[in-house]
Amino acid sequence: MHEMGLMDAVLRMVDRIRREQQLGPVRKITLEVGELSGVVPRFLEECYEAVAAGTPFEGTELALEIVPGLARCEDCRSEFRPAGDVLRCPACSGEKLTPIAGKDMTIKEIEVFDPEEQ
Amino acid sequence: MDRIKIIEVKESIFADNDAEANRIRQALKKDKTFLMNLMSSPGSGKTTTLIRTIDALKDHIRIGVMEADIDSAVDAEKIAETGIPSIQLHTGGMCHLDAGMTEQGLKEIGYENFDLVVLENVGNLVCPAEFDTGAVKNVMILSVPEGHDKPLKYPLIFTVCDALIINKIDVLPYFDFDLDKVKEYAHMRNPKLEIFPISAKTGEGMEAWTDWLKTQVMEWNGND
Repeated sequence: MHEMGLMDAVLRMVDRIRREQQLGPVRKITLEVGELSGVVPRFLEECYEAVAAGTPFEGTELALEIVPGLARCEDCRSEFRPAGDVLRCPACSGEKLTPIAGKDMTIKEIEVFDPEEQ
Repeated sequence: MDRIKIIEVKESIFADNDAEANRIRQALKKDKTFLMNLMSSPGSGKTTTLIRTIDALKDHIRIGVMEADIDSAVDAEKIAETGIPSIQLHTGGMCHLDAGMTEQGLKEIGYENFDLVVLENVGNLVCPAEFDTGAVKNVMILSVPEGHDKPLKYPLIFTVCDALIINKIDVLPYFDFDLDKVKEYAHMRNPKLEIFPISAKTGEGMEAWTDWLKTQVMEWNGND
């Protein structure tokens, strides 16, 4: 599944940041997920549990913040928020669409237990 | 009570992979090796196209192949018949190769002994497009029976590719496949995309494709 590889990349990156900054155990990871990034949030959550199982990330929390998508029609220049798999401009039915926002998937922040207080 | 600390990251989930991919490209440049990442759906004729390409170029440049296809025992045997060194990569159950896995493969095959290393990625149009492997050029094969609407359904792969091979043009008369439409749709996603309609079976169009590839390899390796 597509989301499995993405979550694997997320956990490896968080682990690298945690080691480099000598942080305590992770409590929560917050991701920003663009509506046009091509991922299904529910699958991300399911894959997170699977990828985290048996690692130090098991039992940690995943929070997803959805970033609205925005596309521009190159024919009539109107901008709109695409819904579902619709590949046409709602104004003129044009097919030349350029995604202008909500394409990315970003690690926004991580919450860790402060080691000094442990 | 536990104290919680929030660490702001604000980085793309691909940031680490992209950094590693850039390190791979620098090493390839230094050692004069061109890495081509070949992507497609299963059944697009990837292995046959690759064998024809190898046959056309193997007397001119040293070629190695890294196979990542899931059912590639068969593919690996076919590649072995060309006399070209090939290795099998292990994706660890993932649907794509990332830069780390590619780097391991490059070390295993001894990339510095080749002018061109071909990475045959997992047959899939979604996951491989997201992870930069460190390849110098990305090439995608789309075959006629898959339909001309693929650039609309899988836009990302068309934006990350440098060349698009449209394979199986010998069966064009039997399919509702509009070659001009696919070119238009693909260029909409990526105006710089080079497009090569071919038939790996009959050999039609192969020369334009292999000439392009050879030129890219020569330019990158600095012996043009």
